[in-house]
Amino acid sequence: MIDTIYIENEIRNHPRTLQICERFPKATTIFCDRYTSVFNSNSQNFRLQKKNPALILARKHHKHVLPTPPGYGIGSDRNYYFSHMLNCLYDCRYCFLQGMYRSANYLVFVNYEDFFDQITATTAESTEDTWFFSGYDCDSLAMEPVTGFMGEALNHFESIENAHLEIRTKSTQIRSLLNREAIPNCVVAFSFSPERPSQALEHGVPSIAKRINAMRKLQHHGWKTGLRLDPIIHSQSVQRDYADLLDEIFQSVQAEHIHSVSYGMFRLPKPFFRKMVRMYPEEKLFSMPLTEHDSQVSFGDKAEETSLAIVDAEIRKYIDKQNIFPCK
Amino acid sequence: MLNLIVATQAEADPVISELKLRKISSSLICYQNDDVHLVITGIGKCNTATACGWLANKTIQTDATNHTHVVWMNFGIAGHLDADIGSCFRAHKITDLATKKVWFPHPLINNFPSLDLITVDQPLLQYRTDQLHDMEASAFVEAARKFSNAELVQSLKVVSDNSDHPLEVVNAKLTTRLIADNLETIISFLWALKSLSGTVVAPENTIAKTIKEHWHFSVSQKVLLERLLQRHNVLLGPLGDIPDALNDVKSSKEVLAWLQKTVDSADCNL
Repeated sequence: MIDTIYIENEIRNHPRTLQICERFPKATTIFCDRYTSVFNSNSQNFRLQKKNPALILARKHHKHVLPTPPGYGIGSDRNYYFSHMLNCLYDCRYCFLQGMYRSANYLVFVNYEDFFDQITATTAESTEDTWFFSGYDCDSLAMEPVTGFMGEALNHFESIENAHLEIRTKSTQIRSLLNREAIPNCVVAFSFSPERPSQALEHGVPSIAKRINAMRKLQHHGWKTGLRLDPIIHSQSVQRDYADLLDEIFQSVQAEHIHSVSYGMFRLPKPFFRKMVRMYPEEKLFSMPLTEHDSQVSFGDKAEETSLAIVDAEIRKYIDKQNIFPCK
Repeated sequence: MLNLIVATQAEADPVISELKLRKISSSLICYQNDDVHLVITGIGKCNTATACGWLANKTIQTDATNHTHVVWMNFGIAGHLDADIGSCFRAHKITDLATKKVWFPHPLINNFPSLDLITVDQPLLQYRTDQLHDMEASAFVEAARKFSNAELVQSLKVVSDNSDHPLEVVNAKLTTRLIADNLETIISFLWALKSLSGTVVAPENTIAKTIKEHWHFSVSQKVLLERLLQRHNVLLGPLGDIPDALNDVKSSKEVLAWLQKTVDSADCNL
C-alpha cells in the first residue's frame, strides 16, 4: 500500500515514527527538514498523486486544536476539531480536501501528546461540555491500524471530565474499539450517502452494508454511535434514496441507541470547487446546475430547502427531533 | 507529449535510436517524432535550464491553457559511492549543492528503485554516502516544473562510476552502453509516465473553436463558453457541430444563454 515514506529529520527517531515504519519494511524512506517542502510545494496535482500516495511523518508545532466552523456541532456551544492526519485513504469526489490541499500524500503528525495536552487545556477553559471532532481533515479510523492514534486518544478522553469526542468515519477498521471497553464520552459517527451517490462518488469506501455492520457491532459492544448524512447531493430521487438508505440502516442498527444524526448539503468554497473541476472535468457532480453565492458553490437555496426538508422528515421517522442536527 | 532532457549525445543515442527520433534543424541539438522531443543540452545546470525553457517554448503553444500534462524526463549517468555500475534509479530527492534547494519528485510509479540525488557544479572526487551525483538534475527539475505538473517531472540515472570505478574511466562508449543496457527500463518508465499523464488531460473541445469563430466573445465570455461546453460534454455528450437552434442567433450572449438553459435542464441524476 505505502511504498514511500517521507520523514522529518526532527522526528526520525521518534518511537511512533519507528513503529509506523516497521509496518512498511519495503518502503523507501526519504528524509526532509520540514514536511511542508513535500506537502505544500508548487505545481502538484492531487489527482495524479492519488494514484500512489506516499506517507509523510511529521511533527505539528502549533494549533493542534481549532474551533469548528460556525454551524458545525451536535448540540454543544463549545466545539473544536483536531487533525492528527491530513488527507484520506478514500477518494470521495465531493470531498473538499481535494480542493484544499496541493498534495494527496497522507500526512501523519506523530506528536500525539501535544494534541492531547491541548485538548485537556481547551476543556479546562470552561466548566461546560466541550466537544472535539476528529475526522475533519481525514477519516478518523481508516488508518488506525497504522497510526494507533484513536486508541491513545480514547485513553486520554476517558480521563478528562467534560470532554467529548466524535470519531467520524466511513471505515470499518473498528478492531481497536472492539478490543476495549466503550467510554461514555465518545460517539463513533458513520457517514453515509445513499447507494447511487455512494457508488458514483465514494471511491474506495467500504460498502454501505459493511459500514452498517460495523455500526451494529459497535452498538452491541456499548459504543454510542451517530449517523452523518453529509453531504446530501440534491436529486429528483432524494426522498426515495434516503428512505431506502435509512430503512437499510435501521434494519440492523438500533435507532434508540443512536446518539445523534446530523446532515448537511453539498457545499464548497468557490476556489476549492474550481480546482476540483480542473482536476475532474468529466465528473458529473461538478456539471450539475450549481450556483455560486457568498463565495460558496451549492445547489442553491430552493434545491437545498427541498432536499433538507425531505431528509429531515425521513430521519424523524426513526430519531427524536432533539437528536437531529442540521449542519448549516 | 514527452520532453526529454539529456546532457550528452552519448547518453541520448540509444533512446534516439529506439524511439526513431529524427534530428531537426534548430539552435539547440534536438531530435523528435510526433510524440517525443529530445534535447541534448550539454553538461551543467545552466545548459539544462536553458534547454528546458527553449523546449517549452518550442512545444507549448502560447495560447495553450492545458500543457501541464506534458511529461518531462531527464535521464543520464550519475556517480555513486558504492552502487553497482549500470544500476538504474529514479531520483526521489534532488538537492542542489550550491543553493541547498531541495525537490521531492513524487513516486508516481510504484516500487521503482530510487535514491537521493545531489547536483553539483563541478565533478566531485569523493562521493557522499548513498547519494547519486550529477550536474544537471536540480536545474532540470526547477525549470521543467514551471511547465508541467511536478509529478510528471522525473529524473532517471544510471550509475556510471563509483569508488572502485572512478569517473576518469567513463567515456562516451561506456556511457552509451550503460544507457543501452537500461533502455527497456528507461522506455517503460517513460511510457508509464505518459499513460498516467493521460488522466490529467482535459478533453479537447473542438466545437469551442468553431463557435468562437462564428460569434465574438469577450475574455470572460470565452471562459464561460468553455465551461458550458464542458458541462454539455458531461451531461449530454459532445456537441458535434453548431446546433440548429443557434442558426439564427446573432450575439454571443444569446449563444451562452442557450447553452446555459440546455445544460441546466439536462438530466442530472448521478
